[in-house]
Amino acid sequence: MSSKIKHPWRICPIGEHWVMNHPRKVSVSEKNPDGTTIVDGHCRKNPSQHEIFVADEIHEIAEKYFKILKSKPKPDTLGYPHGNKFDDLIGGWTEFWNDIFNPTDPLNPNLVKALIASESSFNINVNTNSNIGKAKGLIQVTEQTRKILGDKKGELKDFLITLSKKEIFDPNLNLCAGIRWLFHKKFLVSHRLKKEATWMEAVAEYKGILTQLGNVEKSDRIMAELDKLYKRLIQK
Amino acid sequence: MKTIMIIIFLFSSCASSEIKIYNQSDRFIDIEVNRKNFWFECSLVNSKDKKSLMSFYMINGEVIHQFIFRRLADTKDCLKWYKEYEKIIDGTNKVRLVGIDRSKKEKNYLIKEKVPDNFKKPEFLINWFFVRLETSKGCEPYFDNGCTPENYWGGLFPQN
Repeated sequence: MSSKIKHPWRICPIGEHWVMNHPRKVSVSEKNPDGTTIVDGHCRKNPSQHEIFVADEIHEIAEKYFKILKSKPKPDTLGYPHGNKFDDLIGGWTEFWNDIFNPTDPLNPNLVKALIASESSFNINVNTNSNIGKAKGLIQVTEQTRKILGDKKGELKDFLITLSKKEIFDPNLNLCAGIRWLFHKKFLVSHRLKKEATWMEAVAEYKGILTQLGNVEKSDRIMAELDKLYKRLIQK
Repeated sequence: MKTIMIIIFLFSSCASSEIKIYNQSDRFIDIEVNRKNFWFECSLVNSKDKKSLMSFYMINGEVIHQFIFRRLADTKDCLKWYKEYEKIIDGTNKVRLVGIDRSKKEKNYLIKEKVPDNFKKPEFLINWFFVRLETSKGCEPYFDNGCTPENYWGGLFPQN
């Protein structure tokens, strides 16, 4: 599904990840009277053979490349106060993961936008009520998913994303992780169904309702809302 | 005639006191009803997978408003939440629900045996994503900022 070619947006060579400028404690000296020095951003080797994304690199990529994207979702708020606020991030991470995994049928950024609408209504910094579960942020990445995405011995073979519990709320990091997870869901469903899964099937799997579709009215109802929003976005 | 007018007046004022709509658009609803016109359940959607959908219902005239969670859950988790909601519902007279993203008005399909009798009568059903449930005993949201409206989309409401 993927080839290990360095994506042009990535800062470091294959097998390394980016570390941003950061302070480091040093001995107090004339040059560093407060006992700290600033270490410039640099690439650091990944001891495992995986490609690993960390918050620093995700932020750098978004800042540098997401203003000049090939495709973005339709600028339709869908009626939500923050409906168009994340279009650059949606377009950017969709394009990035499409480039990395190169699927026959590329993911449409409008489907991602509809998914976000159905997951969080573009409500920022949302955490499901602790009584309900632990899904976080715009695209509602669960705690379990966050752990799997960063687990070097887990189910992801490559392109891991290591984020902390706090970082996952950041819209940029949340979308990078959530869209990466959606690609993984498509990969898993394709294997299970023994055919190339559609993106709608991948989205249903993301929501945990794929096996119920067509058989259980309430699952269909959840997907119907998303489908309605998606159709509105792809309508010319 | 006068007696009939008084009866009609009393009936209409009684009926209107059963429902209070705080805010409503095609995309958003904030509605309060008497306890007897409210019902909630963990809808068992797949016994094999043991998955359920937390669902709340309200009668508003000929329409049932259904408020559902955005995702299915394990039935055991759903039953745990049911108990949490029960704590703030039991012993209260009114229940207030907020929902967003309505589906189109369609035929009431609530025909299962366990559905309370008064919920079988309304002809139509409208479906919403659940935002929060509030009673005189407390408030339980879907998202953790759902009970503080000033934090919810910065106090703005979704538009059509």
